[in-house]
Amino acid sequence: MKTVASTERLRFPEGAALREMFASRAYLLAYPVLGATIALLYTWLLPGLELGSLGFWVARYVTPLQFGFSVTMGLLLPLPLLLSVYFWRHPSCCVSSAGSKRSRIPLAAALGGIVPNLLCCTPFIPTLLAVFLSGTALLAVSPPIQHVLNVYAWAFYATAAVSAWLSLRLTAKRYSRESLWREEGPAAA
Amino acid sequence: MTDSSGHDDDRDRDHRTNGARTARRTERCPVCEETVRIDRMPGHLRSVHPDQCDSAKVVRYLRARKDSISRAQRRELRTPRGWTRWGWTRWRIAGVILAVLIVGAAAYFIVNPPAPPGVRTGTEAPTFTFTSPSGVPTELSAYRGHPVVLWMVATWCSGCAAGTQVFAQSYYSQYSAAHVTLLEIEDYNDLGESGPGISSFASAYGYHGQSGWVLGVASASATGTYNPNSELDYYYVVSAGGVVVAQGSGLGGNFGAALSAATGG
Repeated sequence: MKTVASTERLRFPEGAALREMFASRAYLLAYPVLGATIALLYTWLLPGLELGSLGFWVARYVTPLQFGFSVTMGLLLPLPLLLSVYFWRHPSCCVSSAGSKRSRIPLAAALGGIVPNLLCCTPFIPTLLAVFLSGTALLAVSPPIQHVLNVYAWAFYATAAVSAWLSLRLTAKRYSRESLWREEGPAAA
Repeated sequence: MTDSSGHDDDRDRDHRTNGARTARRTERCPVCEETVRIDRMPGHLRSVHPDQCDSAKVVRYLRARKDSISRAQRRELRTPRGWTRWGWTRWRIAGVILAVLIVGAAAYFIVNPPAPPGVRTGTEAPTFTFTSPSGVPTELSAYRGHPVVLWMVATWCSGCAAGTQVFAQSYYSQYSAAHVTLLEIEDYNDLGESGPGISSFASAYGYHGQSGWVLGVASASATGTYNPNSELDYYYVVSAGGVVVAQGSGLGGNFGAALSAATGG
């Protein structure tokens, strides 16, 4: 039978899992360091891909949308990564598989933000399509694809951010189920 | 007859008793080492370790328990819920085919690098007419005698916007001092997509009528000649003598290199 506490724990698994993880000082210190690194990486990479240069000077030309996304990913992405490491290092309290298959979600989230800039503003798509198409066919296919990637870049950013959050939730939920199974029996989990 | 049937009944009873005994026996779960009744082990694995059902240690465990866990249970356990094994296999096959295609395309590019689109480097830049924002038609040949950087842009392209901003803030003064003209030309019909006019686009990122920075809109034939692959951000460096000395994608990250090429540095 599920208790009120166990129901709450399953409904909001992130809170319990993060509380437990951040009780450890190492993770509390690692979070801002990893978050700042990820945010800086995106702040450099996103305008760099747009401008076609990976010099550090490109960070001066980051747009407000790109900056917002970089900060969001800096805040979100370290959480599932650190949680996976925490579960892996504390096998007594959780499944050994916490994140074996789901660890792909943070990777997808990390790459999701780069996709629009990588495909829209570089010669990748036109050059690839030019192998198969030419003339009016190329003109009919290539610009619409690049236009969608360019105009709806915000949607790619939002999807990447949601994926990062989803990854956190799934990892935490898995951990909570395991903990409840151990503490209150199979019915609670 | 009686003996025979009595013997059969005994055997059935023994079999049932053995089955019940086996079912009541407990073992440690191969994944979490929790103590679980053998007959409940498939349910435990499926609900608690759904991601581990295909793992080597679970498969080994199930093989070793052929007597106590039925074939149907084992097969069901190895089938991910909500999907069939064949479904996953099909996705994997599709993934492998896609990967092979991508690797093949990349290999093709490496072996046969595509020729630069449009006008070749080292050849004379064919003249064309572009229309200024005020509607005045201008010929490229009118700039003979001065080095020119010809930049084909789409006004909905964020890379072109960033590049325009980079030019206004960091490179305009250098180009002006070297007497190199930047011709920022919008592709014909903005490559078929909707975007702002070239004038309002450039004004939003630092253009305010500076001399040596010229805006215009290309005709369909000029776009076909200078940007046949419909790239969003393509440039040519044309020397004072009208010869293309360099070209490439992404002028935003290459203003310095283009200036060096234009001045012969």
